[in-house]
Amino acid sequence: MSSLYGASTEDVKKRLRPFGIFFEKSLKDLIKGIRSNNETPEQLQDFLNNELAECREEVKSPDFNMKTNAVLKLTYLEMYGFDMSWANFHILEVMSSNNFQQKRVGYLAASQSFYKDSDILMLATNLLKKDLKYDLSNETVKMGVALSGLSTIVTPELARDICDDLFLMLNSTKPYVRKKAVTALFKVFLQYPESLRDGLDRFVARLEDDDTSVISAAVSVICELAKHNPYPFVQFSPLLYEMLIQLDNNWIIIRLLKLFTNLSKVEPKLRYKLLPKVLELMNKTTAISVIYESINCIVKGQMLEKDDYDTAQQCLKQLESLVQAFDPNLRYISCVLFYHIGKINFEFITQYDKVVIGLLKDVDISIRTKALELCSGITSTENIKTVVRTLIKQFVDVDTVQVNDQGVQIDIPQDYKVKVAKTILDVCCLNNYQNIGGEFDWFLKILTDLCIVSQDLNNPEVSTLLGDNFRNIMVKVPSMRDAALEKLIELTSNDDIITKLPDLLKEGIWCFGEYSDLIDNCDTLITMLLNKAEKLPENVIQAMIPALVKLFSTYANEEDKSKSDILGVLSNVIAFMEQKYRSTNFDIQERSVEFYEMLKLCQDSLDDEADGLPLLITDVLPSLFNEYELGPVSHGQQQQLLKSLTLDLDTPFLSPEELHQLMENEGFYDDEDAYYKDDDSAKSIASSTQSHREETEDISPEKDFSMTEEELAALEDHRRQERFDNPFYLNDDSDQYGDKKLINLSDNEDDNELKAPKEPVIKISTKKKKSKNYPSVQVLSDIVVAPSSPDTNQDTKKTNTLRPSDGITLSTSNKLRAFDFSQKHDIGDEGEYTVDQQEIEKLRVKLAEQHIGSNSADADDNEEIIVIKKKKKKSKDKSSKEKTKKKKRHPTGNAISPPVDTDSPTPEHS
Amino acid sequence: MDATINKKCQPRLVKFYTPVEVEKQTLLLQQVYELISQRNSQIQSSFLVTPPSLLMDSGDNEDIQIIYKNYATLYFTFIVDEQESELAILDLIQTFVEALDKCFAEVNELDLIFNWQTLESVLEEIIQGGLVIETNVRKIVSAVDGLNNATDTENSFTKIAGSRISEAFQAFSYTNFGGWGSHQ
Repeated sequence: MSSLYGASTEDVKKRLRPFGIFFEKSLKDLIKGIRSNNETPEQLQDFLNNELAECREEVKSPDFNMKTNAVLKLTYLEMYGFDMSWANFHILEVMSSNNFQQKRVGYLAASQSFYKDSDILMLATNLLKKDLKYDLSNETVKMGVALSGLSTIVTPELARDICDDLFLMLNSTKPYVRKKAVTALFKVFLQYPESLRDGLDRFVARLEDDDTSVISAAVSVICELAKHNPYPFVQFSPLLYEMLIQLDNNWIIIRLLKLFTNLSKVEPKLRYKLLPKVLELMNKTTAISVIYESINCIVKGQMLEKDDYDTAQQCLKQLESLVQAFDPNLRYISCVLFYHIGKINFEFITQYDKVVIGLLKDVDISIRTKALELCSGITSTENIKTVVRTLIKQFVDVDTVQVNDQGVQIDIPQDYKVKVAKTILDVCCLNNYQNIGGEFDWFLKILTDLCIVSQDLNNPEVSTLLGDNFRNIMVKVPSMRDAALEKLIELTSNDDIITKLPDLLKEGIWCFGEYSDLIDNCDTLITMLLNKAEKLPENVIQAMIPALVKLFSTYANEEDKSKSDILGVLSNVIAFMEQKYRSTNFDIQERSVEFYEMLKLCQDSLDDEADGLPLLITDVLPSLFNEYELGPVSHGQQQQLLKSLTLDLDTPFLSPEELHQLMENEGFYDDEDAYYKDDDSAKSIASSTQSHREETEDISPEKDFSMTEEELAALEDHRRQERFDNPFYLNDDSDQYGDKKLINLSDNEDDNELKAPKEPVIKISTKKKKSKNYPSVQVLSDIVVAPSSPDTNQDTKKTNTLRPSDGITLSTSNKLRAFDFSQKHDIGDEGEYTVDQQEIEKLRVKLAEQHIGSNSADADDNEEIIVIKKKKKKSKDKSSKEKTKKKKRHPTGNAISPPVDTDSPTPEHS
Repeated sequence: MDATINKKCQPRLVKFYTPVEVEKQTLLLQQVYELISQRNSQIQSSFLVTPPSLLMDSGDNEDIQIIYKNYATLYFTFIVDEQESELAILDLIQTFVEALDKCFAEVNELDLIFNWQTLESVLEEIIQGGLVIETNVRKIVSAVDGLNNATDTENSFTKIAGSRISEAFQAFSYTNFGGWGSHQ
């Protein structure tokens, strides 16, 4: 097939086209070829490469038919992933053809491949200008095609050059041209915002066009523009509001609702006028899409306030019926809206628990996934068991759902199950186990079940969460410790769990150690753990090493343990430590070495002691672990501690006098000369002792009790040097962490932080939860060390979003967002803009009136808005707007407003 | 901000309204197809909840939605931002298919395969530069006719059936269409 146009010359080609008919492959042939060469990917690739090579030749042809044909084929092939930007120049040629259909092909190709080629865009500018020249001779179709093309390849320069022609087209007699021009102007505005500022009124006038399509296009464009920069459009709210009332085209109404969503975000006062209207629209319309968008507008436009139960219930009532619709699309989107309403105030949705539980069983996993997010809003002590039961049943691979009286099998994907597991744990732990209502036995069962069912998820996050929950119960609910330990031991003896939920074990093993005094036969547990150690990953071993020692300590100190038993267990543990001695994991190595030495000492002392246990085992070893009971500390508190802690590393523990005194008492003093002879670092002690000697040996009197400044500095230098030389010190600037740092830090915090006591008060509240008639279980609440600040969380979030990515960005780059509409530069006269300002003022007045009128009964108690109109003042500064608006508070709602500027008194009450 | 993708393993029409490199286009197509093809469009909703990783990776796209509709062997897919109403986009897909149906009398996948230019033209009359310009099927079809009849018809792509069948589109989409079109 390629031989036709080999390297042979134009002559051959001409000879082969006797009647000017061309026999090159048309697009149709190409498509046929693709279909017939489709058996293997390689074959297809070969074929396509071949075709591409042909096109490369054809596109160079001086024959425009052939060239156009090749360009068309290339445009098609781009869909298969072949870049065609190399042919941009040929595309430009085809674009400039006088034959309209060829021009069409050119524009189509250009819209797909010109976007990043700045050279060709520059060349295309002239052509577009010519094609878009607005005069009567230019045909409608040609302008249509050019406008479409312009919408995809506009540049700032082109936008500037072309915008006047486009504004002229807005007055064309043909609606087709008007609507296309309106849409094309969108891209022009984005690239050249000055044109929007100068032509705003002319553009907005299209909202009142005779043709629905033009209105629709104009609303769409304004809606999109408002997304980037809503401020210039707030002034048109009355007009848009009228349209919302009068139009009956659902498509436009939806766009208007979207537009109001954008506007309402920046002008909260719109809410008072809009909200009733949108609600009315919602209740009146029969179109579901309009109902949906009305609610969407209320929710996303921030018109629903936290305490506006009435509005919320109206919306939710509509949603309730949608959420149970047959159409899965309706169920899905209304479920999403449910979530958004719930996010504003969870209390709005609490009564819809049955609906949500129904959604959890939906046939569509997407809907279930969304419903999961609603769970924490609807669960209460009453329904938590139903919710959790419903969810835990879904840990199957295939679920059967009844749709139209027949069972439909749906696959339950893994990531959904992960989410289910997280949700269950979430709803149970909410507000310090409030939902459980004290039934921890039940919760423990659920936890154990979750461990069993989530084995196959292979998700470290879930297994960590499960571990955390077990640990939390152990720590926070003292009465459950026995039962939870039992479950944990049960789980640990299961080999499947060990391999699949290692992170659960990490916490579990920690619990064994921490609460070893609750375990009767620690030796058995030690043996079991040692046997399992082979299969455990490093991070678990890490937790296991101290746990083993704790277990041993408890075991050895129990009554009636024979010495040989203790020695047996001890040697097992020592053998294990020895084995981990050379681990490549630093933490394991360090811990095992530490405890190895410790236990070795225990072993020796045990051998030495004839009868009874050595002090090392009875006193010293337990004192390592049992000094305090650990309490629950809320997340992030330790970091808080660091911030508010005043750690003074510079003041010596003892003043020289005190030290002196101390040493004298201890009788430590005798051989100090030999002891301290070479030790520079003991200078302080030495100097103090010297001063003591003063009395007895009568040494020179300049030796003082206290050190001189220089001596202190020298000492500090020496210490720093030593720390620097010591490889075990991290070389940070911790010396400078003194007082200065603390002050700096607290400067950033708010006032509470400053008031935080210097010495952190650790307060453990063990107050019992008062819950109606549920079994009262003591739940320890978190220890508060310092006022919490969400800083740390936010930081991590930020880094997540700022992460550079190579994904696709579907948003258009534009200059509109950053464009300052208040700057007028040198174009246009200033009067126009101040008029706008006044209009905004008028609007504000109007809205304020509306607000007061409609809310006289339950208005925001005593806040009134008085608009003071200044004398006409030409100012481009936005701050003038601020000046003219003043809020005043009155003790009573119906007080007479104080005298305002005389030239325009504003009525407060209707 | 809409990208229109339309395919069954193989693309039938791809249109991006924001600049995206060709390689990424292909990759995105693949990812979207994989996600959609797993779903049962009879009983499940038309929205993709988890967007393909390619879209997830870019920071500022939190509100991208993928809306698709299945007609016989084809998936009509729109990727839009939150400025678009989900239900309106579903209507738009319906409009698109109706317009195609009018252009081809009774449209099937084979028609669309061999008349890719017509697909492009129809879409261009519905969406211009990422914004919806027309939702009226009659106006869309007559605009396409207008373009095609604009000059001498020496080109191969002027195949437009002028028939105006408006009845029972529902029946068309669920019965006639079902058996047609070649798989793979």
